[in-house]
Parts: sequence; C-alpha cells; structure tokens
Amino acid sequence: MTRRRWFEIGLCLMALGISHVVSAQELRRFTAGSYDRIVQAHAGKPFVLAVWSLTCEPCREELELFSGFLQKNPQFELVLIATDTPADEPALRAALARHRIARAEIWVFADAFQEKLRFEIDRRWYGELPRTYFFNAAGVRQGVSGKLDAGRIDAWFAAK
Amino acid sequence: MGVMKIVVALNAKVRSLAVLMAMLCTMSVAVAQEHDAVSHAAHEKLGLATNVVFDANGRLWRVSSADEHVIVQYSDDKGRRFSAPVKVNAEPENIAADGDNRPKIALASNGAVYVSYTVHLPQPYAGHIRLSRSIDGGRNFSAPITVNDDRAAISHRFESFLLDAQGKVHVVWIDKRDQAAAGKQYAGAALYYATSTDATHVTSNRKLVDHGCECCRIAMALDTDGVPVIVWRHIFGKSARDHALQRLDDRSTLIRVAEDDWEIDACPHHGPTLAVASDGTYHVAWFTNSAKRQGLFYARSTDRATFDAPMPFGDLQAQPGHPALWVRGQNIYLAWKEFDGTRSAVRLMRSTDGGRRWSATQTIATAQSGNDYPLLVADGKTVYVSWNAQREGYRLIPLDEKVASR
Repeated sequence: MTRRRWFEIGLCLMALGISHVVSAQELRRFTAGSYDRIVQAHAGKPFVLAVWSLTCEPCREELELFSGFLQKNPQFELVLIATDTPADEPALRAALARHRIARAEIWVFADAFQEKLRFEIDRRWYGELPRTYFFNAAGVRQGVSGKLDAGRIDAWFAAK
Repeated sequence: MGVMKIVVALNAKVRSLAVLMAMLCTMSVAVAQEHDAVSHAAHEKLGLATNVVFDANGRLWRVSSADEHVIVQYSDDKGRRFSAPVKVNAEPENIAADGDNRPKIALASNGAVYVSYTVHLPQPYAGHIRLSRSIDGGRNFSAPITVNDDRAAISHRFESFLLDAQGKVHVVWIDKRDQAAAGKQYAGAALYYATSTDATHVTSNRKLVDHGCECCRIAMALDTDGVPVIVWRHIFGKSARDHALQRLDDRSTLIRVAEDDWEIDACPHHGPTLAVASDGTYHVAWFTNSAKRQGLFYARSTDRATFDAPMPFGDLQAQPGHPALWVRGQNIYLAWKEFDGTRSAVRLMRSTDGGRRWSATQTIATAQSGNDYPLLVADGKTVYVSWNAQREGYRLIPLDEKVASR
C-alpha cells in the first residue's frame, strides 16, 4: 500500500465523517513564506509555535502536554508544524487524534528543500525536535529545544 | 481535482450522501491505483537518501530507495549513468530512507554485495533491521532476513554495518527492547549487535550498551586489528547527549569523545562520523548544541583512550551539519553541509598531517533544491564527494584536482 493510497483512503474516511475533530481542519502546506504568514496572522496575540515529527519520540509526550493545556485553556493558541511530508497526512492526523489535539492550527513541511524551511523559521535551529517557540503579544519569541515540562508552558501562559 | 467536479454534477441527482461518499471512495482509490501503475512503469523517482561504495574494479555501487523498495544500481563511468534499478526486497515495505536512517551498502572481497535497511512498522517509531546480499553481481538479492531477534513491534532502527577482512558482517543498531521492559524510567535506547557470514543466518543479538540516544546514526569503521569500532550519541547522566566510542571486542569499554554536556530531551537526528587511520588514530566529527559548544567539531585519539580537545569547524550562521570523514594515511578529508538562506553547499577541509593542521574551508558544490547529506567515497586513487539533489541530480565530484595543490 503506497503512501498516496493511504492518503486517498484517509480522505474517504474524512468524507465519511469517521475522523476525529482535528481531522476536520485543513492540514496546511508549510512552504517558503509560510512562517512569516503565520507570525503575521497571530500578531498582537501570544501563541506557541511547536515543531514536531512522526519520527520524534519525545514529541509524543510534548503533544500530550499540549493536549491537556488546550483543554484547560480555551485562549491557548497553538500552531503545530510537522517536518514530515504531505504524503504522511493520514499518519499525522492519526497521531494528532491519538494525542487528542482537538484544537490547533496544523501544518506540514511541503518542500523537500527542508533547510530552506528550517532557515526561515530560525537560522540558529539545527533541526532537533521537538522545537518550541513561545511568542508574546509583542511578537517577541523564545525558542526551546527538547521536551517541555508542564511548568514551562504554565509560566509562559501566566506571564503572557 | 476532477473527482470534485463529478461530485458537484452528481449532487443534484443522488440524494443519499452515503451512496455518494461510497462512490467517491471507490473512484478515489481507483485513481490512486492508476497512479501507482504509471509510477511503477516509470521507475518512480529514486529517493534522495543514498549510500555508495566503490568495488576493486572502480565500479561505483549505489543504494537508494523507490516506491517501497530498496534499490541497488552501479555506475561504470564515475556516477554519470547508472544501471537499471534492481529491487532488494521483492515484497513492498515501508523503507526508512531519509536523514540519519537510510539503506546501507558494503562489498565483500569475493564480490558479494550486502545491503541493510530499516523497515518501518505501522506502529509509531517501530521498525525491524533487514539484511540481504547478492552473490551474482547485484542481479538478484536474497530474501531479506530480520537481524533483530526481538520481534516486538517496537524500535529496532538506525542500523549500521560493515564487513571485516574475513567477510563477516557486523551489524549494530538502536533497540528499545530494554526500554520496553523497564518502562519510562529507562532513558534512551540500548545498542545491539549481531554478526552474519551469509545474510541467511544471524547470531543471537548481544547488547553493547544501555542508554544510547534514540534517533542518530551510528558511525562504524574497522580498527587496524580488524575489530569494528563504533561512535554514537549516548546519554550521559540524566540527559547529556554527547558522543561515545567503543571497540566491539569483549574487553573494551566506552570512551567519551568530548564533554559537550548537551543536556536535551530531544531527537537531534544528527549522528557522528568516524574514520580510523592506518596508524590507529581515531578521527571523529559530530554536531552538538550545548551551552559550552555549538555546531560541528572534530577530535582525534592517538591512544585509543583519550581524545584531543575538540576543534570547531563550519559556519554557525549557515546551519552546518552532517559531517563525513575519509582518511588514508596522514590525508584526511572532512566534508559537511551548510545552507546560506538560498543555497545548500558541500564544504570541505583537508589535513595532510593526520589531523593536526587543516586547510581553509572550500565549497565543493551547491544545490538549490532538496538535497541529501554529502558522502565521501574513494576508489583506488581518488577521493570523491557523493551528493544527491532533487533538481541538480546525483553528483560524484573528484577532490584531488581541486584540493591536492592546497
């Protein structure tokens, strides 16, 4: 079974309404310029931009953490960017559903020239995952590599 | 998409949404199958991730992947043209083929071609290590065997292998069986080891070490006495993901390459490289991003016990990464990748005195499309950079003309 066929079947399941809530959202294609558009769209509001991947084990626990935080805090704005490929859409949706990410803006890298996408996000980020950016209302961001602990998000949310 | 137009056209006539959706599904899958047929016919584009090796006659062997198959080809004209793709695995499998986890290839002195790869299982992060060989010059490959004797659907991934002078295959990989047994308090994953003489049978697996990092390639080379040596990203203390070296005999213990103290609970996806010189010097290069050191570093050990102070290289503002080392005698080549915001570049330094002093950095090639790690490979007389890029294609770039005079 090729990835494309899984994708088609995934679309079918979506159409049949079997999917989880987050599956209803568009999985947006992250390409050159996407990072600036995300930052502009969230200007004036604090938000978290988190980069993850299907192949990253610590990301699994990070998604769990976000899931709990999303449920507790309706104003928490989360942008999730997966560094996998658009062909991984069914697996990405399955992972998000498994970790009960009910509400987030979801993106996937859509250019094999990954360096370019990484560079646009942060030229001093070298691809380690998870990688999380905390934005305040003024648009100032702080980047963190590695799995977060709950206290880190709480502190940011309280201070924002 | 055409399917959507049909949906609109049908919408007025078909009252039952369920019927419509069922039709859409049938059509959609049929379209997908048609695509598959076309791509099979056209030998769907090879993946970017490759490994290469020269045989004694100057033939370049390349392993890559396409459409759920590991693919082997060779070139007799230094990488300009390659032979028709030969599938290693007859049955389609989900092949790990990017970044630090990709199919490997090595040759025995009797001409046998060995290939290893990781197959992804449907479960997250799960995989098995496969091994196959061809004894008819790469025309046919044996049914791949599974190297890991733990068959749980957990992580057995990131394999590396080499052949010793007797033609024995040594395979090392990252294995989560101990983590699965111990639970969450077990940091990282163990490294396991097995050997095979024929890619049909494999020895029972032996644990080398606990608490390796989960997602970085393992560098492997033969020591001067024929014993394999590995370098990998290890977890020291709670979560310092620094590099360790170990000889795969029963006596040697782990040597820490450098105390970077990169405390991070993350997947760097960024493994080291190792070369052993004929005088027994170990040459290692790696990436770290700790408070103490950031970027790429090189260090050598002349006593098999301690490493010199790490030497930084690469431009930190240009995403330096994925180093490769090649050594013969006192000549050492060190290649890596950088990105300046527009172009990727393969950068290179050379030492002619065993790693004491290094040349200035040169750019060997650039790419403006998705591209693979740079590799170093040598035939009898020339060292080459092997580099694959989406638009620029596969390139094998001889280094001696460019570098020898400097």
